[in-house]
Amino acid sequence: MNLQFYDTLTNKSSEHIKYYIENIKPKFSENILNLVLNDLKAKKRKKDDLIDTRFDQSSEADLSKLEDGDLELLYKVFVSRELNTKVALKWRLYQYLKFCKDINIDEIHMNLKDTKKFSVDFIIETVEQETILITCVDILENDDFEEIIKNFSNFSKSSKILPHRIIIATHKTYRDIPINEKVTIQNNSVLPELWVEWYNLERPFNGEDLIILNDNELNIAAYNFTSIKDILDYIYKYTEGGQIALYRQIGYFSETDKKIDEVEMIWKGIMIKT
Amino acid sequence: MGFKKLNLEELESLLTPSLIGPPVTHIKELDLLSAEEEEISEKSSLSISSELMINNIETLEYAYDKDRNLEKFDSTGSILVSNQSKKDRIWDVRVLLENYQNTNIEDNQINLGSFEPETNKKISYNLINREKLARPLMVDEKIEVMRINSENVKNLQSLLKEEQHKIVEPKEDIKNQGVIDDEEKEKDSSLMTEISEKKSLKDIKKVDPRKEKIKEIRNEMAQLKNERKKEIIQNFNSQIDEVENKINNKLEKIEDINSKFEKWKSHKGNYQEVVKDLSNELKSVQKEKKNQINSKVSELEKKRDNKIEKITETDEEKKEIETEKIEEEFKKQKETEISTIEKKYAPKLQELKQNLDEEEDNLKHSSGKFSTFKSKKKDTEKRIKKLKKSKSKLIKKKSKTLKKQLKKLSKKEKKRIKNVNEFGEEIQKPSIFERVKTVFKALFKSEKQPEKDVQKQEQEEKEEQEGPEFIEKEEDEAKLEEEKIDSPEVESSEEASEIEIFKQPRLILLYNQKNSVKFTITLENVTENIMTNIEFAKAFSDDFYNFTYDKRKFRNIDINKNRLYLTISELKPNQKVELIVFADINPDQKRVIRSGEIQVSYRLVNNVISKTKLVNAAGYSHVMHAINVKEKETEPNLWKCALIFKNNSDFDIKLNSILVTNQKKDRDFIDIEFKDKENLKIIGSGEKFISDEWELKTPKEPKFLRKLDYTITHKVEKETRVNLKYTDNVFNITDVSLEKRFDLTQIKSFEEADITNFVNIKNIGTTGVKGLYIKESIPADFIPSLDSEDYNIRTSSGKIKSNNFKLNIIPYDEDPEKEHLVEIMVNIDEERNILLEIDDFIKLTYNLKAITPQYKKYYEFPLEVFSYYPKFSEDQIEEIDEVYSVYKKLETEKLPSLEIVHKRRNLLIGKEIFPGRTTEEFGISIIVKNNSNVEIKDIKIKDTISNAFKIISSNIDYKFENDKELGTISFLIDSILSYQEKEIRYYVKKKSGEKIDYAELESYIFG
Repeated sequence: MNLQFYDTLTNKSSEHIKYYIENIKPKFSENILNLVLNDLKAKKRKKDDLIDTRFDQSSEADLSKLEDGDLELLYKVFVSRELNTKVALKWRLYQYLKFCKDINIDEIHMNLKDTKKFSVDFIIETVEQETILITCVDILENDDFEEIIKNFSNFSKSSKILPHRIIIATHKTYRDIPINEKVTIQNNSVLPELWVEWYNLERPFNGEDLIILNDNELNIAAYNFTSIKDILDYIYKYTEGGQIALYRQIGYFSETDKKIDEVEMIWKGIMIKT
Repeated sequence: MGFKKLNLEELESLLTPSLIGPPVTHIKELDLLSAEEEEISEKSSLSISSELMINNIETLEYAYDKDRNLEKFDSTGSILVSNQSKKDRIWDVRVLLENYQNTNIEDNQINLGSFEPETNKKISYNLINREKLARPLMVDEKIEVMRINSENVKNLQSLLKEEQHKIVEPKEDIKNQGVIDDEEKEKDSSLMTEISEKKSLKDIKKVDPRKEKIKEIRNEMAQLKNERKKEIIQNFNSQIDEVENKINNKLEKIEDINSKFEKWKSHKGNYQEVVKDLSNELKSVQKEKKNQINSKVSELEKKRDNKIEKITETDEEKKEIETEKIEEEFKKQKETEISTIEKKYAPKLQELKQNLDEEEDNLKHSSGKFSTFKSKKKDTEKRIKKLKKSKSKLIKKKSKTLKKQLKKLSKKEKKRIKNVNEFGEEIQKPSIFERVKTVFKALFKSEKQPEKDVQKQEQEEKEEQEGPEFIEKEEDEAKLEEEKIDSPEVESSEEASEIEIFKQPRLILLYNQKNSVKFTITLENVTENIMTNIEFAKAFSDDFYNFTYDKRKFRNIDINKNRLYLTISELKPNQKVELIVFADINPDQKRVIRSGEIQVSYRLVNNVISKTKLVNAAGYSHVMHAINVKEKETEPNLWKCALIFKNNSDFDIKLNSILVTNQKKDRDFIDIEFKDKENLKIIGSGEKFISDEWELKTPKEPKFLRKLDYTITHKVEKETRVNLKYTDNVFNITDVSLEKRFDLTQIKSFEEADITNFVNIKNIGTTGVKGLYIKESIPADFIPSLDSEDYNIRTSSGKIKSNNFKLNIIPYDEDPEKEHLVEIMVNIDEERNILLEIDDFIKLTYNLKAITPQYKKYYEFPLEVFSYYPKFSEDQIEEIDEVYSVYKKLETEKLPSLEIVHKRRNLLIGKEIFPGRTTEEFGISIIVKNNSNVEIKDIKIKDTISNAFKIISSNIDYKFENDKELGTISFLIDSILSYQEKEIRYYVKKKSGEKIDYAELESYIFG
């Protein structure tokens, strides 16, 4: 479980919510935070179709200026994850792509203009010089699938981008999606990939825990992750690796409990970075 | 933020909230019995005899979903007619059918024409009117997971009902305690005592007399239902059998009538033709005669006219006289000629007329016979139709009665359970099982007893049991029932039977534990047909192991690669086989586990399910017939005659009739019919039939008319092959994680302390948790809060208000000498709302008070949780009536530890005086010894010294205050650790000129 829903919070003070937002990892840069908020609030759409975000490394966002409405929105998308719209999903995927080990990203372009249901939301250029197109949908149905593939095809034609991989990222999906059938995009046969927002039911931590790496080398809020694999990917990306011991401090971010310094180990091993 | 790339198998089978809908059912199509099918078809092709073979085979395929709803039904039929002879041709082969209304065959007679040797022709058809066909083998599978109990929500609610009233409003209760009447108090206290002594809800069930009674009622009613079902089926089956026998008799009769009808029809036709021929012949002879007369007359007229013309007389008178002469002569000649012609034709015409009369008589006779058999045929057909109608009515009535009576029993069961729950009345009642049983027996004696008597008896018995109101209602229902049966819109038998809705409960397994699953498989023949070669196969999921079943009872079971095969040679009508298989499973991953598809095949030998009857098959082949006429040696002109029939074909020939008559057909020499079963005449291949001889006296060789009716024989093999497929169900995996902790880890012995208790329960299974029953034991020396407002329960959706959960504290007091039980029930109602969706949690917080915790005691605070899961899915029943109950206890090593710290000080302060180097000096030693297990701080020690002494030195800092007579030396020891000893040593010396008072030396010491 992630943190409780916004409406059920006892303490909705901006300081309290801000505390949660401060602990969102990876952190937002100033530019990206503006884009996130504008996109979530559906305003100030850019004229360009695609924005090259390139995992903006600019200065860390200043959260002190955020209004209560902004904080609530960010809490619902990234902390409690109760908001599951296409835009919310898109930004969560963006956050995930920052540390995901499966794609070796060189450039990432994000669609901030086109708000159609099945628009292509990301174009990724990998280090291996492959092009990946990603469309995000909140709930994927069989009929949508055909539409999305058509849309990939049209987009590919109009933009003259030939994708090596196409990915449909979704919050929930029906089971009858024909993902084992290759589709043709500009005479090129591609096997569509289905990425589902995943909550590992057997993960050894709760959203309310604090994840501690080794001897307080890194402290991360557990609500940023939904599986132990995510945490390890994150650590791989943002630390030097080596001897890794992960602990959880139970209920650290819990609102109602009295804090107990109870810490238990959840993972131990050696991470060799290559 | 995690995303997962899914492959197809994961998409179809993983159980996780991200995937919508149930796992895809058919991951792999199983064909468990196909190998057997092939073998059987080979056998069938070998079993060909050297006759005209008629194989009527029907194949039915039923496919059911997991709730036993028919999803797919395919049926085909074929009549294969084969000429097995290697040399003989057969011709004019006709097949006559009856009762073919359940097929798409349009005509009762099918003409197949000629068959060359070793050829066959196939008539293919489809079965229609599925609902009118006999029901297939009834296959039922009940799956129970042995350690998972099922509870009725109402029973769960009622468990805490009375206590709840008391606990939710504790203050009021306390206020009104003196007002509660004694009986109520006694009831409450007895029940509470019972509950407080229990260790689990299961135990509550065992001890609660109401629960016991409910169980008893259920068992009784289940037995009663079974008996009732058997009685109804037996009774109706006997009636149906009787009607069936009548139908069969009539069918046999109609066969005979049909043949006679056909015979007279053909006779009539023949006679009609003969009469027609004869009358035509007669007419032509008469015409010929007339023509001859006419030509003769015209010839004579011409002669007469010539003669008259040749008269030369001029005298008119003479001329007139001569003309008259000629005319007279003409008349005479004309008469003579006519009479000659008439004489010539008279015998022929007479014969023809005679023959015609005879044939007309024959025609009249055969027409009479034809009409008689026609009306007989019509009547019998009508009768058969009527009998069939009454049979179908009986079948309908059987299923309706079954349904009605079982429904009534279920109502009764519910009522009795309600009584037990609400008033406990049933507990006092003696068992009514026997009485109800008698009533049901009486219900079906109507055949033997006058109906009125039975009704009277029933009424008396029921009045005794239910009161008159019930009877009135039932009479109305019976009337309605009759009306329904008479109306044409009655449900078909199968539909009515299928109304006994099968509800396959949801299946659950305990995660990471050994689950023992009991599969009770029942195969029941609910038809009047004998079922043979029953092949049963079940594909268990690969996760199951350790299969056990009664090996003494079932010797022909084979379990191979988790596939179970059972062969049963025969199942008679109403016979039932129950197979119980136990298998273990330890689900270690949260993924789809299937209960296992079932496939069954069986045969109905010598029976086709469409009831199509092959009345007759006829055809001709190579035969010879002759009449041998032999003049008697001793008596000329006396002829001995005999008919010879020889079968020159490979087939057996059945002689139906022989008719030998004279040419005029007014004398029969042989008129034999071989149609009765007793005198069937089958002439084997190459065999002869020679009739009895008859004698005829005639000078010429006698000639006879003969007509033989015969046909080749045939052999009919009928068979129905039925294949049944049952889709399996999916096991859900249940698990909750339990966590418990206190905000304090230490408290002091024998001191009061407030402790906050946190309980976290998280649903880590693959299905939602409907409700929870949390049970915590609070040991003596501690007491839980009695105020329900202090109990804070929260889920991800927010706080649960105190009136939305039930709290029960046993005993409800603040006596620290007793152990207390805290019971909390959350969301136990019949609504479909789920308390904990997958991965959701519930947090319970409340306060405990330590009153006199003792350090020598070990306190344990066990946590037990029953999680409840809906037993039936939403599409099966709207409200939740039954739930699965899964028990989990927090492991001892995970229970929170509470250390009782016992801190008691034990300090020894001693003083010792040592003589110094001179008689005026003394060393004083003060020993401070900490004999306790705690550190003692700030120990202040004061010693008084006579003013006659002055202090020389001390090993620790000191303060000295001088009074008039006594001086006081003070020491401060900051800390002395447990079991540590410290020594203070100081020296005093007599002041010069002072006198030593030794008693003063042993002065007061304070510390």
